[in-house]
Amino acid sequence: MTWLALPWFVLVTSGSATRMSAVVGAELIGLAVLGIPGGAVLRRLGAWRTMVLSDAIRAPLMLAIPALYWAGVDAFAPILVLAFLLGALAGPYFAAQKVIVPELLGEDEALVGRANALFQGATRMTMLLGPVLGGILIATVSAPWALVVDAGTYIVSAVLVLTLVPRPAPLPPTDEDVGARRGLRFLAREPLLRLWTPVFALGDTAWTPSSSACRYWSSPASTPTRGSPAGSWPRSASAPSPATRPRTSFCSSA
Amino acid sequence: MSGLKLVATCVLGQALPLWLLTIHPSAWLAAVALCLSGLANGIVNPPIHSQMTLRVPPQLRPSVMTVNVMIFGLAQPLGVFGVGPVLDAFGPQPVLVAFAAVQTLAMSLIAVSTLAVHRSAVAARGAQA
Repeated sequence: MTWLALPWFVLVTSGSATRMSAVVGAELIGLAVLGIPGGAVLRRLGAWRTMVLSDAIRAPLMLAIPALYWAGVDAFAPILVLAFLLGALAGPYFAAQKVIVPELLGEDEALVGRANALFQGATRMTMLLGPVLGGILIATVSAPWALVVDAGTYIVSAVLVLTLVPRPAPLPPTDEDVGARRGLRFLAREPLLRLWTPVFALGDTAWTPSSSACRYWSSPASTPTRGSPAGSWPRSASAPSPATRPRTSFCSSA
Repeated sequence: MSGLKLVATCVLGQALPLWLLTIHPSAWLAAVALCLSGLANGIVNPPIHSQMTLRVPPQLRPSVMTVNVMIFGLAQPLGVFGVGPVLDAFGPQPVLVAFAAVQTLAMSLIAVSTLAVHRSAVAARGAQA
C-alpha cells in the first residue's frame, strides 16, 4: 500500500510529479545507503526483534506525513527525510523476514521450501490486494487517511509478530568476521549464488521496462494510425504527443 | 524432486510465455502470457528463496540477506532508465522483444548452472556413499 499511497499523497497534495518522484527516490536512496549498515543492526538485534522494531518505528514515521499535512506545514523536505528513513528500515526488515524462517524451522530444505511457498503466497496476495485497498482508500477517504491506515498496518504487523511468532534462540556469538564485506565475498564465491544473484537481479530489472511498454501500448494514445494494419504495433511515427504520452517511470504506478 | 532440480527444470517456464507479448498487442494474449509466466514463477520461487537462504551459513545470513534485499530492491527501479526514449523512438515492441530475450537468456543461464551444481552435488553424495 505504501508504494501507491505515499507517491499519490505527494502528487495530490503538491500537484508535482517531480516531487512525487523525489519522494520515491528518497525511499530508494534510504534502502541503498543504509542497506548494508542495516545488516549490522539485524545481526546485533536478531531477526525477530528487527522485524518488531522496524514496524514499530515505521508506524509513527508514516503517521507523521499526514500529521504534518494536517498541521498545515510545508512538509516537502520533512517528507523526503521520512521517506528516506522508511526506505532505510525496509532493508533490515525484509532481510529479517528471510533470516527468521530457518531460525524458526531449522535447516531442512523441504520444510523451509514449504514455509517459503506459504510465505510467497501470502506476500503475493498482499502485493495484489495492497494497492487495490490503497486505491479504494484514496478514492473514498482521501490520500492522507490512506497513509494513516498504512501506518496502522505496521502496528498490526508488529503486534502479530510479537504475539504469534515465537522468538528464536539467538545465534551464538562468533569471533569470525561476519560483516557486509565478508557477506559480499561469500556471494561472489558460492558456486550457485555467484550466478543466481546477478542473473535474477537482471531478470527483475527487465520487468520494469516491460510493464512500461505494456502500459504504453494499452494507452489510447498508442492506437494505430490511419492506414496502418489494424492491431499492428504502433511505431515511432504514431507515437503519442508528450501531453498524452504515459509516464514510463515506475513512479507512474501511482 | 529436490529444490535445485525443480528450479533447473521449471525456471525457463517463466520466460518462454513472455514471447507471446511480442506477437500482437492484445490484452488477452498479455493476460495469458503473464498468467503462464506467473504460474511457473510460483513453482520455482519457493525453492529459489530456500536455496538463497540455506546455502548461506547462519552467521553470515544477516549480512548476505541485507545485501540481497538491497540488490533486488534497487534492480527493478533501475530498469526504467533508458526505456522512455526507446519507447518514444521505436514503440513498445522492441522493448517487449528485448524483455522476452533477456528473460529467456537469464533463465537459460540459471537452468544450466543449477543443473551443473545439482549434478556435482549428486556426484559428491555418490562418492561419499
